[in-house]
Amino acid sequence: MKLTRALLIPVIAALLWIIVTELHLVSELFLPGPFAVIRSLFSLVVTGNVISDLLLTVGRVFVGFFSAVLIGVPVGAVMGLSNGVRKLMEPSIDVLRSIPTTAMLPLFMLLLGIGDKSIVALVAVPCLWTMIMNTMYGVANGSKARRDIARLYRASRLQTLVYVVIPDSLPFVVAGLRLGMALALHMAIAAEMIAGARVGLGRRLFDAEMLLRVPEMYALLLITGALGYTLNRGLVAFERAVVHWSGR
Amino acid sequence: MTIPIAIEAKGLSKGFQQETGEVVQVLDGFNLTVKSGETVCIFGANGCGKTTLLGICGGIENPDSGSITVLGAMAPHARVGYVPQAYGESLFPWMSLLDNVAFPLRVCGSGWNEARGQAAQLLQEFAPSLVATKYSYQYSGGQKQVSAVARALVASPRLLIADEPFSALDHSARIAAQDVFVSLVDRLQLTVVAVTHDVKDAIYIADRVLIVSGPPLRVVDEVAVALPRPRPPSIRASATFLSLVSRAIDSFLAAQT
Repeated sequence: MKLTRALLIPVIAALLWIIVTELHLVSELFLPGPFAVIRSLFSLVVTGNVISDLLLTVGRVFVGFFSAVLIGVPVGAVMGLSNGVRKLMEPSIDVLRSIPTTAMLPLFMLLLGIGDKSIVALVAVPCLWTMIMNTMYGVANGSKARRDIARLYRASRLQTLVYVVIPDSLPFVVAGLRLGMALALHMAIAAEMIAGARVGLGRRLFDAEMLLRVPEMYALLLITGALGYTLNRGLVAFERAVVHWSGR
Repeated sequence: MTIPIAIEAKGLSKGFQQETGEVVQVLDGFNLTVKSGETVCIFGANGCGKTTLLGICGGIENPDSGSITVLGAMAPHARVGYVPQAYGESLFPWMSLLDNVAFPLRVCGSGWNEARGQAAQLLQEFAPSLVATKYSYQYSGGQKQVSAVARALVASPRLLIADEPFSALDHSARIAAQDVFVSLVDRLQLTVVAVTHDVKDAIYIADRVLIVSGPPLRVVDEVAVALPRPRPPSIRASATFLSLVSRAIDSFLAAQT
């Protein structure tokens, strides 16, 4: 029943797609038929041409994302724990995260050169802001009632941190991971299109459009969507396992 | 022989600033003395300052002025069990019920195994129907409340502070929990300061009931509960019990007018 409901809209969309293309209501130049797209998808997968692009994009997403997590979580935690540090850093971070990340690409290209380093930097920056802010809010806004219990029993700072503050902040941190991962994929695809990548899903999408290989472009869009969906489902499963109490 | 004093509060004052900038004086020179081994219930309307007073007695709030000595030490202090009003929120949802109850022992230096052993023993007596391996969010409001009371009792406190400890329980669970509570208090020779909105709860568990109004918090009447200890459950139907209930209600109503 659940699966039927989930498949209802995709099936209707596919039927509409078939009808629109079979009746030639839209030019094939803009919307090729679903069977042409499936053929292209099959060819991309079977020949293995897309696998190296997919792996490179995933690699850039992971390197940028985990760099942001490794820096953002401790920085956010310190800002959440210390009002002084928060007051010192928050205004600067607010200004920096107000700059659209894509506007920083010329700077990254100037500093890091054209290629992988700039792409990874572009992926990492918005994830970094997300991880810092979510972790800071999670650490600073934990339940007062639970912290009072730790205080009442004279838990040490370390015990309070380990048994109360960290677990209490985890739902915020994991929500930050999900947001950050979605941002990371967006930025990786955009950066591959404009930052001089030779390979990657973004570059391949761009080339397919430029060379008017429209079915391939749609097939690559499906692959990119599937990648985003898989990454998100992975993090949802991680969330359910690690912060099972979240939202209850 | 002089009975030692468990809580001595003198001239406690505490104000809270509202969003409008106005300061509401919840405590204004409030005095309280509780003897060791005594059970004092505070009975009054919502928002009169009872929870703030309990927070100060428990060491989780600081007064703006005045002094408080708890168990011979200036607050904050050890050996105090606390059942907060937000009992459900105060439980750690990432820990099992057993670990929640064991938490005070763990932070006071016991290993997890030892702490869990003692917690399991207490739960067996106090709440045998609870499955200790479940998480707190898997329990009903009443079960969470019983868990919070068990956590407050596990570290053998000398003073128990409880903010509406039975409010979420249905009638039969309330009666059962009160009976176990009173027998534990007697056996452990605990001093208890509790807030309740049910006057029958107050008369059943207390030696003394303070009828309060506010803010600022003030005692409008004091009802001495001269009922025997240990208290049999049947005492709730006695004429003395009912007359004490009636007197407390009369005082409460008089304070509201």
